[in-house]
Amino acid sequence: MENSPNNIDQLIKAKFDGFAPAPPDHIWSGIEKGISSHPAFFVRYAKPIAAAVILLAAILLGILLFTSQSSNGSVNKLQFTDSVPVSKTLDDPPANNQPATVSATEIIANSEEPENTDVNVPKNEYAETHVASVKPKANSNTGISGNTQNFNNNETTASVNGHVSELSEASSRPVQNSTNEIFTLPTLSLTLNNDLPKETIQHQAYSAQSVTTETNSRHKSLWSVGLYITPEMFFENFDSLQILPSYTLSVEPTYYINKHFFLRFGLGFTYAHDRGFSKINYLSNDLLGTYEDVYDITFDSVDGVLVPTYYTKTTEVWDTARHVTIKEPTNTYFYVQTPLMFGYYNRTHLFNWYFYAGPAFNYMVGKNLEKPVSDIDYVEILNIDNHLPQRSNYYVQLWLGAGIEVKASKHISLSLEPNYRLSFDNFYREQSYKKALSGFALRFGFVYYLK
Amino acid sequence: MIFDKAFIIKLKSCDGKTQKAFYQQLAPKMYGICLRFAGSTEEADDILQEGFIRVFNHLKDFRGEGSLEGWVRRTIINTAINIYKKRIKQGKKTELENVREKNEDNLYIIEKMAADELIEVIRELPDGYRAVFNLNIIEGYTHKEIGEMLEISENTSKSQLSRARKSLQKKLNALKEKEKKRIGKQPK
Repeated sequence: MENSPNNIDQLIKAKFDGFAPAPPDHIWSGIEKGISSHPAFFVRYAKPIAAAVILLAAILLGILLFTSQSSNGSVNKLQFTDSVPVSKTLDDPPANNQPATVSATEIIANSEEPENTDVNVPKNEYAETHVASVKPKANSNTGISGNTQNFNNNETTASVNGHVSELSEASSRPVQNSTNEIFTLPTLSLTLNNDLPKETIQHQAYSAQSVTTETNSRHKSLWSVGLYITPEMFFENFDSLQILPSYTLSVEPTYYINKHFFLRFGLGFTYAHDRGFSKINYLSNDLLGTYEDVYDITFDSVDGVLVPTYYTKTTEVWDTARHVTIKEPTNTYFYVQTPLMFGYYNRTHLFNWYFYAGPAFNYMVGKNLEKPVSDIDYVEILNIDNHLPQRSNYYVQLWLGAGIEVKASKHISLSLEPNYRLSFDNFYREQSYKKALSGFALRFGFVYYLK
Repeated sequence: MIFDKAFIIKLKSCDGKTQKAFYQQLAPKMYGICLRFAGSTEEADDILQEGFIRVFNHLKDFRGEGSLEGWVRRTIINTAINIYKKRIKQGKKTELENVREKNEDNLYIIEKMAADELIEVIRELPDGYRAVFNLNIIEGYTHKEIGEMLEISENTSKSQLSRARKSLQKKLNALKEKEKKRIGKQPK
């Protein structure tokens, strides 16, 4: 063999033709950091999270607006029976010696039907006297403290704190001291209420108590049944596996143990799916074309001219290169879900809030496993590197949730529950995929309160 | 190796799983190149890592007109050259060696050597020699192309290659002598 540089070069080149040592594992980690291609959970689920936040914010805003409007309205109604503001005025005279008159005026101003003052006051002789007396007294420096006997007047307090009938009775009593503005408070309230038609008074009394009654009726409910729709997303993902959102439709009865604690259980049906990743090496063996291969040439002399004759054969060109493709097969699962939650709740007349925790048991009842090569036909598969683990037939989750229920009607509420879920490491069958998984679910529910 | 169109589209969309599959498919072959160009295994690791980061970050520039594997190979080689240039700027360039010319038959010993042993020999070459040797002998670039890549003249590239060959021969001769001594010591 000739020892020319070219021979050595070719030999060295040939030595490296197939030289493919395995690189150390840490290199891929460095590349991942350099390219940072894996989007974080919040980036991946930016849209659904944003939608959930907006929805939650809208509901909370609606509740706040509705609550503030209702509370403005209910103050006037409840003033009728609520003794606190008046009693406080009576018991705690302000330092500037004006308040009885001012408080009375405020009460009139805050009254739901202020026109009654103008209309009804003149009809009542007693009220007329005191309305007239209020105005000059507003400028007088007569202290409330100077009439301590009237602060302790049981009849006055009773008439303010008491029922409509008692107020009416108080209004008919003669006044001992007509210049005492302290009497104007109950008297004015009395006049307003006393001059209303009896039906109106009864209606006001009913309205003031109806909210309380309704709330009380809910407080007395021992059972409710909720129908929940739950999209669930997972925080973690594996390198070659994307856990797609799952959806659960469930019916969950709730038993209210006492005024603040409840027990919830139920039955749900979950649709879950995973997207895997498969790398497939194959030979397509496609016919790429043909060419005429010259296998012999002869030369003939024709009339003194050299004429070549080419002998050819048709050669087919087949694709023998290794191809690489990827497939993302999806496995679908159906689970029956049985949660068992223990929780704390608090009810108001407009909405309830609550939080709860407990285990949820999931049993597989059906599955559909997709084959990675389902749509590759007429090829020679050399190797399939499939990374799509199968889920376990049974797994347990721990739920931590909170929620609000907004009253839609007397018996029906709408609920919204953000929910954290921890799945223990029995989620997948394969050992390399066994790790605890965290997830987030947002439950939408219709809750019916049983009588 | 031919990557399907679907694979390339997925790769360009920065899908993490596809990127890893792509890396796993090509990394061994590219690591072989890195080992040839690098002065040490650590440097080979750096070239491979930096090279693949460049591949993924500039993959959108790949227009699909040629082989994707070839494009990656060129990117890795360019990365190796950049690292070599950086080292020159840092003043770590090894001085040229005075090589004694010998015309001995080294084919036999090369044939007997495994690729990783040969890499050890190539790795002992001075940086400049090694770069030109790899680019010309194994990758097939012309001296003109090498001159542009390494920012040296065509003639410098030629002379570097010549010296690289001589240096390699010297090392192979030393190995051969060592092998002869080892065989001579063996009991008959």
